[in-house]
Amino acid sequence: MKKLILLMALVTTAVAGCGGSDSPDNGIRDLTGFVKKQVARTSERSAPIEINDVYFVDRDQEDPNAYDSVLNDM
Amino acid sequence: MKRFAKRSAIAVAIAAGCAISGAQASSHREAPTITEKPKLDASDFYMFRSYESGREDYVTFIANYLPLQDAYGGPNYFDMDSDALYEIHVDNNGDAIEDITFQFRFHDIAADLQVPVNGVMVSVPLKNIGAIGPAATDTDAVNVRQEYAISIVRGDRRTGTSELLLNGDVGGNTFRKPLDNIGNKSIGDYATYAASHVFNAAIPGCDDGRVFVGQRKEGFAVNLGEIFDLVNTNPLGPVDGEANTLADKNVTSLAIEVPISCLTTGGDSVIGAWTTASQRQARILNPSPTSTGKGATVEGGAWTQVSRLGSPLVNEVVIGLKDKDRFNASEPKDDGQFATYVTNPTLPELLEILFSGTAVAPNIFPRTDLVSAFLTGLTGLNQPASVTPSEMLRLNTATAVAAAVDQENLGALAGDVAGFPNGRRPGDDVVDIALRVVMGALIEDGAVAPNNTAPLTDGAYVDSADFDTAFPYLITPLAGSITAP
Repeated sequence: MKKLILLMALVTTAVAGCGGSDSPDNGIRDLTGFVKKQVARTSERSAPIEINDVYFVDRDQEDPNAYDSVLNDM
Repeated sequence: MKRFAKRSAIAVAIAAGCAISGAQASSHREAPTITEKPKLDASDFYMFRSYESGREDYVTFIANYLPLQDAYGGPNYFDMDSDALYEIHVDNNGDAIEDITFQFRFHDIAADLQVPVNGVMVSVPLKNIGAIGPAATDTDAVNVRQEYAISIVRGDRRTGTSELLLNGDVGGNTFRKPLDNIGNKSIGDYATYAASHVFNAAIPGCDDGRVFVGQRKEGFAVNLGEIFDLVNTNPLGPVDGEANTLADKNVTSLAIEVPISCLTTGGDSVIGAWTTASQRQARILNPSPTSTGKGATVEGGAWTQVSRLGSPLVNEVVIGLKDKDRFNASEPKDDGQFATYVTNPTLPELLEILFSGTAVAPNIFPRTDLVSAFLTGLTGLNQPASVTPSEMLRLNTATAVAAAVDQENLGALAGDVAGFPNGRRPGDDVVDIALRVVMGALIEDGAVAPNNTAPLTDGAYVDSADFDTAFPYLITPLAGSITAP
């Protein structure tokens, strides 16, 4: 029984990971979220994020309001 | 001396390396992406022991950006990017990693000048609405101007210890940048006005230095018009037989003069240096920019390097086209990735192909002479005591200064060891020097380098007489408008 519960937990975690739109584990990133995160982590001391192995999914190509939260943030 | 054919292989080779980018200064528009970012485009980098009388204990660094400025380029003219980070890095122990970095940040000061129009105050569209200068503070008629701050970072450029330089003349941590040379009705005496922007700078942990940031007349000389016209020139012709394509252009200079004692360490008199420009990694365009809120863009993320320049002409004619963007984003400590471009250079081979029987590429590989010239410095001249091969400009601060009148524009090739490649002075003709070096000028054996004494030239002449003999050395920029009084 314990083994079954552990197995189910592992499967659940794996499924959640595969479906994540911003999961660092599978190299797939939501572009809008990624850009917003970079703006939020503006720093004088940090290094830029390497993106050669990242596949960006841009779901907001038709959404002119995608970055309103950044543009409107005063 | 065998004459090269009309179709100069050298010029073709340069064109082949630069044609797509249309490069024109020693490193300008040389990479595909930097052509989209003129304000971040480093075009020339000079480093030399100051030859102004009495200043021999200083090193002058001049980093030129935003090249090919037409003097009449209003209404905005040529401000620096206030969202960018401009840096001059110094490696003083030969390990290819910066030990000292001077960071320049600009900010815009907008006055929003308005005039009454039928009882309504309306914002004007111009950069100035009256005369400016001659003092740096004579800016009541200026609508938009820039100031800048300089930091000295010791250690890693991002994680090191950072301190602001102090304006030694007026106090505070900011320095005024002069407006560009709009014309003599706006700025009657531009030379005096610009000179009022040379400031003493208190450098934390060091003796004072001097700074100037502003527009200058382009100092680089090169014959590119004919090169791109199917190489309509003779590379064995007179050294002054051709027009300087850049003679009618201005550029913006970031000049800083620093005590040698502030730069060197551990008894090694050799320093290496290069300049970079960086942007924030993320940028969002604002579809509704406002003058009081967010502007046209929002920038964010870490500083990401997009421009790099040490020795002249490297990214122009040494690095392959496919790697030019990579070079601009790279650091000297990782230059092993570009080694083949130096040990197996393409420019001499192109010459030999195009001038079969006349031009002969040096037949000795790897080209250790070019490794010395570009990656380590020359033994006994400007090679650090311990050096990691890496591309940067190297200066031996113990080499005696040559007064302007005594300088040879072919630098070390002409016996003037205070000149390029031992640092780089404004009057060093780096195009002619580079042409001769790549064709074997540093190789004694004529059997493997038959062209090692060929007086190759692009025909556009430059020497120290073209410049001032005092900081910041580059001369008053061309005016956008000159009218008789």
